[in-house]
Amino acid sequence: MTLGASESVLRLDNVSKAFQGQPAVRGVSLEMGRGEFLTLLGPSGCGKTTSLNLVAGLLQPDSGTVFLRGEPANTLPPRHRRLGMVFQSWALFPHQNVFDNIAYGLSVRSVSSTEIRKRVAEMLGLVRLPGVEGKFPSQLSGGMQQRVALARALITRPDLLLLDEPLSNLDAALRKEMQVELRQIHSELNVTTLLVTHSQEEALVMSDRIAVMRAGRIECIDTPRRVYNRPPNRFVCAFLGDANMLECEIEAVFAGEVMLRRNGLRFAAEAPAGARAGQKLTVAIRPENLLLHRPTGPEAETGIDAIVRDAIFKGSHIQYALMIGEERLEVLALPPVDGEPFAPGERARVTVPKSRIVAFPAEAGDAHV
Amino acid sequence: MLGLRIFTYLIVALMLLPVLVTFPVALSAVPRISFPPVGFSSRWFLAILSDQVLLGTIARSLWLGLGAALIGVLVALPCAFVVERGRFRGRDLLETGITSPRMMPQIVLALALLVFFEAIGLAESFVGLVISHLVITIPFAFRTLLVSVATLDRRLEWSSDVLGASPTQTFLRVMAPQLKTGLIAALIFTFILSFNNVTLALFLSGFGERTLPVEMFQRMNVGGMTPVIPAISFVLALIGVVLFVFLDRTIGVYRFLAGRD
Amino acid sequence: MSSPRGALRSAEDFARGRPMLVSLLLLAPVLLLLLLFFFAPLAELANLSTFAQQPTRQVPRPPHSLVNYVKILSDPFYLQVAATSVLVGGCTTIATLAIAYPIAFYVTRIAGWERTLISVACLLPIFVNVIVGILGWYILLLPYGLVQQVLSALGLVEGSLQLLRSFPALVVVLTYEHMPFAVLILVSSLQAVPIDKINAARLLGASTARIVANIIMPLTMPGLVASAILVFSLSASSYLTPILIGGQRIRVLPLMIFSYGTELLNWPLAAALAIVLLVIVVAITYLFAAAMNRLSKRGQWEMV
Repeated sequence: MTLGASESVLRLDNVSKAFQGQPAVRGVSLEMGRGEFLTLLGPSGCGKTTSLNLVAGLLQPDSGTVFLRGEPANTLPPRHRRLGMVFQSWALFPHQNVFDNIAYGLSVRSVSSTEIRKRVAEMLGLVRLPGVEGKFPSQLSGGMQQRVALARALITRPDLLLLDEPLSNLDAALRKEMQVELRQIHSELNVTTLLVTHSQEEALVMSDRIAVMRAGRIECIDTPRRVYNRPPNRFVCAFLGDANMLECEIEAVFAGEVMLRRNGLRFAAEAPAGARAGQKLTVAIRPENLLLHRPTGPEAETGIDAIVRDAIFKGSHIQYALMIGEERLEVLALPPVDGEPFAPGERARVTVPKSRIVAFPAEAGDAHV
Repeated sequence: MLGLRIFTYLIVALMLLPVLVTFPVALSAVPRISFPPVGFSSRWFLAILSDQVLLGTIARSLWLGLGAALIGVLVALPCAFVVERGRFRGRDLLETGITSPRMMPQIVLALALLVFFEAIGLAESFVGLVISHLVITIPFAFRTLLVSVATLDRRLEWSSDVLGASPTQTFLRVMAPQLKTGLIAALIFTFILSFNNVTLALFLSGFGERTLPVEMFQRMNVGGMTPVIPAISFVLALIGVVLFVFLDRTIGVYRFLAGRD
Repeated sequence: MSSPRGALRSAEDFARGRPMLVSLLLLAPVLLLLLLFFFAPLAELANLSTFAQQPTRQVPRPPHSLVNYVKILSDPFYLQVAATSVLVGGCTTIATLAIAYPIAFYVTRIAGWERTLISVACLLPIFVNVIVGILGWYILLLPYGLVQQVLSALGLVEGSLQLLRSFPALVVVLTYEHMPFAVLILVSSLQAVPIDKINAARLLGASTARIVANIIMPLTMPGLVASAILVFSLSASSYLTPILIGGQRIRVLPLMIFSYGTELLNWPLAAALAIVLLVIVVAITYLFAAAMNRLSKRGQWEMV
């Protein structure tokens, strides 16, 4: 995706950074347009926080260029970059009250005190935290501190908002609430936002696009749906959610499809690029894409025989463990509206839409499933 | 544990005894040191206020302590930053170098400075005294402040930076408030260090330039000691105890005195 | 920009790109001060000790020779003075550690006002001027003073005692003076002993004595050695107490140094004596540190 200079808020061009010989970020490139919400998603140590710090200017890249608003910004100090940033620990100034914390970005620019008062009130309204101006950070709960940190970052109307795992210090319920609120604030202000997280749920809920990172590199950048449904490799697939991974061999390639074989299972899927007979592929099928049908009934003709080994009721869905021949598969299904769910020992027939089977080349070192 | 407790309190008594004994001796009515005291009078405590020489030495000690503490902390703070945050090869050597005066026996240092000052004309001068005290207060302030600087939360500085503050603003508005406690502690401790110092002052202060401890020492050693000395001793002891308890309750004495050991 | 703010901003940007220069400027006052008034005078002192005679206006730079050192090392008088210093330092160190260790042990197990009280008492000599303590002991040790009265009440002595100007009195007062240093180091050392190791040993049935000997001692060895080094170097080089409590009877190096430095005005000899004192202190420090290395290696074996 290339944007015109007027639209591009942030562009990383092959940026790399190493610490004491250990590479943290390797050749990362991405571009963000105005108003976009992009998430850097990955496990700890993948370089996402380093990338964020490079964007902020707290670190300088060893090679490559950071472009802000179309201009190269490698040597630009953070305070001139017109950014807002919220750290994982929120980093509120402990010796200043909420008002002074939020007003900080304006007070260092000698904005008039009436204007400051107005804008602080505006921000407190935006983050829905009225009436706490006089309190100190130590007197606030985690969720409130987070909102104050957000208000502090946004008051200067930055071009780009950087969020470094802002929700990981919150408990689960608060986290869900804040995910929705962050998304709302983002659309209200239309502020370009770059989020760093290791939680795939956060990434899926809040982002316009997700960039999945591993070992300093970006594995893929795409919309949440596409990253989830069509991951480019095993790592991304597993990181975004559960999946049944099957190592298969290509029996034949024909008309854009491959016939895959594994231990007596044979099924067809879309052919990935460069597929040839005899190749090994990893096939991923997400549990919710496997559909279970009664052995007697309309779909009895299609699908594969399976025996239900286990059925766990999880409230909003049921998790089944199935045996197809020697293979064990996980299936996620909605509880039946009428009738009973499958019980252990019951037979079922399993189908899966072809479009929901993802295949990628077997990587060296993949464990045998 | 009981035996240990008894032992501890025995030692506590022995530690308090020398200080406590100055009180009754200072209440003696006669102008000589005797225990038990002869007579009962508060004249020696009042005599502190009329002993011009003594008062002069007290004033000099206070000014000396103030100067040594303020200047010492002021110059040691930047060093603490450089050593704590710097990433250059000679860093450890630098740290050792700055704290090395602590290792030097004071009598050796005193003699060296005596000779040196004589050569450069600072002998028996107040400035010379201040400088000699700085040599011992700076390493101490440095080590104390090193701990303070190490505990600064850098994320606060980064936040301030991204929010648009200049380095000066970040220092004044974000870092200085965090350093406040450490700075005050360093000031107080270096003041005490200077005020209580005897050996250096003994070598380097001239006859008319004595500090309080030196004056007390001379009267004890050379003669002319009246109970006014135990009286001022006891007053000093009281002040010291109050100061200690206050500091222990507010900032925890062990933490600061033990430094980074 | 002509505004002072503008000048400050460009100064900051100037500084931003030159970290080494900024560091140097920040270090300059301290470095200069220490160079001029610590390292230089000490070097001069060493130089001075090699002068054959006291420099005078006519002969500001006398010829170099080691005559002072020869005198010190060959004259039994000076050798005895040095030996006395070592003895004083050694006895003080042993006494101080023997008392401070149990006290530090006790302090780490209590809290609140009791802890503050004990801390006040033990740290008193560094908060309150050392002169106060010396004066107090002087009064206590006077003939027919409190100490003598107590001792004769206990039936341990008879008649008049000359407690002042005695070796034991000197060691007692020096121990008193240096207790705080030992207590401080030992408390922090003892507090660093991981409590779960002690609990594990207790669960396995070890007695307190065994725990102290096999776990706590080895782990606190560095603290013990550090306080030993500190107390020795401070007490061996102490001037005030030897002269006020010991009188001229007990001759230690600091007394000689003061005497030759300020009264008899033989600076080269005073300087040489000072260097000798320094060498003794450094040598003992190294000894202790080497002993610690050997002892703590054994401690590490026992600790895992």
